[in-house]
Amino acid sequence: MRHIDRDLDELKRSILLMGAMVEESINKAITALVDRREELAAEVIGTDCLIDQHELLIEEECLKLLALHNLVATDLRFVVTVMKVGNDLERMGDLSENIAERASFLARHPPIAETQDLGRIADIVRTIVRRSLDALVALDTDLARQVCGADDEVDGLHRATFVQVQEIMRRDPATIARALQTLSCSRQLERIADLATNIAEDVVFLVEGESIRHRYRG
Amino acid sequence: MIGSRLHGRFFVGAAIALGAGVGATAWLGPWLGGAVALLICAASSYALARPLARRLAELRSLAGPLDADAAGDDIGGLSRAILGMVGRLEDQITDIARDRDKLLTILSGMSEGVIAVDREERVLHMNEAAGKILDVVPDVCAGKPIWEVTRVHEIPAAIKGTIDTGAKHSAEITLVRRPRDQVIVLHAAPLRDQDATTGAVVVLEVLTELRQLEEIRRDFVANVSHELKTPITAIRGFAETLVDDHQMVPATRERFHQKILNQALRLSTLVSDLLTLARLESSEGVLDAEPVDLARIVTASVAALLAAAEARQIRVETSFPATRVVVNGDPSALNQLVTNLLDNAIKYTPERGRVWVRVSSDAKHAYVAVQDTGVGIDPKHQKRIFERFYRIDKARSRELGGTGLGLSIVKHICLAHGGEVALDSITGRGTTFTVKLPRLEATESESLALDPALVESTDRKL
Repeated sequence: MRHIDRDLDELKRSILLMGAMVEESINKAITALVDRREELAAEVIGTDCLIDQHELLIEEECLKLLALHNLVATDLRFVVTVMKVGNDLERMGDLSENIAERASFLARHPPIAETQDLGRIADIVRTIVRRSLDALVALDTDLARQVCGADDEVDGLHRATFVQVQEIMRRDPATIARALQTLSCSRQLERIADLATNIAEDVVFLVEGESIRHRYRG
Repeated sequence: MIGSRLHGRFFVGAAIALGAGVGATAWLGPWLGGAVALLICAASSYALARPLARRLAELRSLAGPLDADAAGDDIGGLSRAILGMVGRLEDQITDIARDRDKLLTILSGMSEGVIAVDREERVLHMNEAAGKILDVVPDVCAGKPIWEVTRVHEIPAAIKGTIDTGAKHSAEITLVRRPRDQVIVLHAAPLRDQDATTGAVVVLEVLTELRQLEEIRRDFVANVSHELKTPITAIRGFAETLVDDHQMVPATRERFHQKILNQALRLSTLVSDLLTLARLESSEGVLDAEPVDLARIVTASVAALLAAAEARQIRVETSFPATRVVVNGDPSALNQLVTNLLDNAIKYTPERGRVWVRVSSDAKHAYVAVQDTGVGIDPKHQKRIFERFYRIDKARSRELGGTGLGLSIVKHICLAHGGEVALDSITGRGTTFTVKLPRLEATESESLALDPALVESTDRKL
């Protein structure tokens, strides 16, 4: 085993660990939101700084590898991809923390009328995040391409939620604060799906050396 | 890794494997140690069996002609000795292979998840239970680093810690899942060859159900204590006042006595409900069974609660099929079942409402349906309404004299009779509880009784 291989292996381990942390954070934030569990929201808010620290570590590792080794082809693409994925994951962690903060607020106040689509968005986002990370672990481009197509549904549902929330606010102005928080959650979830799609696109780039970004955007 | 190291030691392999297993057992505690021993045996015997068998076949083909050519002389003796040894070795290999299969069968049959990894954290073996817990296919995971296999990051972390320090690790992990969180306990221990750590083994145990049961039990104890304490506090308060206040006017004194009596009655109802539940739970299915006519049970229950219904101007209507509907059961338990349902229906129906009790049957089952025009039960409460002490509105239930155990008793009586109870409710409109019990016999006019809708109803206004 080359010395660089060991380092690259360690980097892969590191980025997958970060992926695992972010996925867990998103799962918790979503569950806190949908099931109104304030204690889970607090856990998410407490762990986001760990994710941020981890991103810094990964970035440092990547820069060190780029500086010390004359990387080419797959190895170079791998390091570049890890930097990008690390960045996306960190953003996802932040969004997850945002959702958790809103979930915590919503859990402490009486529920507003059901916005059916929010639960559905949450389910799809959870799946997209899981699959994009699965694609990254297995370097599975087929799976990655499936993920790229899946966030259209989230966009559609987000728009539907927007309309529902507007209607709730119009019916009862007392719900405005809660309705806005709900809408914001829907927006953050949609952003998470976008970032997960980025990761899937990066996987295709890593394996095939060709960028497929800006192709799936309708 | 273990395999290649043991490669050269085929004669003592099994003994070493067992020895290592026993050693690990003493060190790790019987349970985890057992798993380690199994794994080491499986891995080493697997490595032993294949190349050895091939070499023995070669040896046999070499020694065979030697034996035929020079029978009787020294070389013949040598070749016979070799052949004899080959035979014994082959027997041993068969034994080892059989042991290996046995061990793998045991591993795959375990309900706990077992994962073994080498020093580089690559999966050596993963049993089916582990695959199920982590939602992966075990065969696909073999040879991959554990941190690629699962994103439950506590597992790779425990393994790394174990390999680096050589010390065992235990942790309880809560996986946030919907609809219910999963609780898993993880034990990681190093795999050792002499003094060097050659990998680690992780045992995963799912505790979700256990935790759930613990929670139910805790809630139950808390509920019982609370329910018992409330009337006792009241009785004590009134009694103390009576003892202390000698100048109390007789009317007040009388009222206090009455209150003490009421609270004592409530306490006694609660305790007898608890005893009924305990009896039902400990003797499910072994009630004193005899043929019981459901119409008679319903008539008796309705008669007993008629006064309560009339007091609130609630009309109770009953309907029975033309044929007798007979079940095999305990009459007093069935009576309590119908009474509890009817009592609830009357309590939760506003004044001047209506309550229906219908008995019907099909070929195999008897049904008792109790329908009211009451407040209804919100869908989110419907699943839990049969739990002990589960109340939708605590204050109202107590005010109406409920113990919070009535429906739980209904459910258990149904279960004890091999039946079930279902509910159908619309908030604000009313609720229908339907009890389904196995029917004892198909009566004479079976054709009439087949379809409950065809059954002639005999409405009676009470």
